[in-house]
Amino acid sequence: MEAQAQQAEKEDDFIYPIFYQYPPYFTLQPVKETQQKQRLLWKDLILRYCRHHRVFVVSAEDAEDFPLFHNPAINRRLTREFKVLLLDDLVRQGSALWSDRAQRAALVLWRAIPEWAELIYRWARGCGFEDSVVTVDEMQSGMYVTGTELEGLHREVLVRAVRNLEQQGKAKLFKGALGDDEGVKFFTQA
Amino acid sequence: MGQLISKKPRLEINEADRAVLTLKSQARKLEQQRQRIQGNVDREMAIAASLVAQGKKDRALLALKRKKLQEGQLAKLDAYLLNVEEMLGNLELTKNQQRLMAALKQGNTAMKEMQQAMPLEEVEKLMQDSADAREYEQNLRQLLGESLNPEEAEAAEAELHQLEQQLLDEHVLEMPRVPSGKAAAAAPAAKQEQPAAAVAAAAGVGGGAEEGGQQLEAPLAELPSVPTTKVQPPKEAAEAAAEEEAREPERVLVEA
Repeated sequence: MEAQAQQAEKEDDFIYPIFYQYPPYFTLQPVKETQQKQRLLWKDLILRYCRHHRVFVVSAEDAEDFPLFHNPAINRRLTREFKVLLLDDLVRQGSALWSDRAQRAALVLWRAIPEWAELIYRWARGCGFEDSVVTVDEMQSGMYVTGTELEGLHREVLVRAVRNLEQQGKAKLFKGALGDDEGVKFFTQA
Repeated sequence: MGQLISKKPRLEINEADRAVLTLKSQARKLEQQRQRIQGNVDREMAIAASLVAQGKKDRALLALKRKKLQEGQLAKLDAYLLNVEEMLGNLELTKNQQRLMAALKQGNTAMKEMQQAMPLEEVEKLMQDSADAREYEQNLRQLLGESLNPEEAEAAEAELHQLEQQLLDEHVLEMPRVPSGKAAAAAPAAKQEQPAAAVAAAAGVGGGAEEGGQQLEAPLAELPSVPTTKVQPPKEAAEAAAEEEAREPERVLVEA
């Protein structure tokens, strides 16, 4: 209940663009130039919306009915084709990743992976985790991330960011014995 | 060293890291279990309450017994968790100790190496060398100083004498002209001093007036050598000075 109330509160302070109230924008425009403009507007809106609500997964399925793609006030929703088209635009510009081949959902990177990596490394340094091991779970929901930007970070995004740090020689993802969680060891920068 | 040579630093995961990961995983699982059991306890409590309300005492008692059992497990779990956390803390501490030890060792080796770089004999030799160098330089200077032979030194000395004589002669030649020049210079100087003193007195600056008085003393001292023509102006000046001196204490008082 409380979570729902919070969600509603958040919903309120997100400012929707004016076009969100116009039914034509919920239909893919046939004229090429208009359509390009339309897709650009939607793309920015998706990124802004996800950043605001800290949403990582955007579903293209009709059954899921992602709130942004449905405006009950004007009784309009995007078709699956339109959603896939928009998410594909994001994937092409590197701001999203398809979660599966069937393109049922996409992982929206409203912060680029290197940015996440930088954020994680700064957090680890701040907590004194250099040369220490932190579990992936701890980085998502442990007491050290409470109230930080990392809280609730999507696992896939987190793993990709750690892989980015791995390339920089700042961290390593590893698995322990059978049944153990995944861990990340942070290194002091050479 | 290897890290310096290879471009990509080796990201090594050692046994301690794996141990930490295992412990942390265990801690998380224990935490989960604790939450589950806590849920069970709450549930049994609710069941017991509703059973009591229905008047089914036996079953309520059973529920409460189950609750007690779960609570016992909860206490054990808490103890385990504490244990795990203690172990993690110890591991971290030991790792830090190890690192500290390594750092101290490194510092020690570095110091030793530096000390080896300057053995005592070499320092001794260095000091000896610099002493030698000083001695050499002294010798050199001596040699260079003596490099002028006696005749040349004598010639130089003679030249010095000659220069001195020349200067003296010029002085002597100018002598006769000195008195008249000085007298001529002194008279106007005395005349000029007078208004200056008056101005100073009018301004009433204590220091300035006193200075004026002092300046007047010089021409007065020279007066005897000059023919006795004009005594008046200096006298007036002297009077002014005397007056000035007489007023001096007053002013000091006023100032005080």
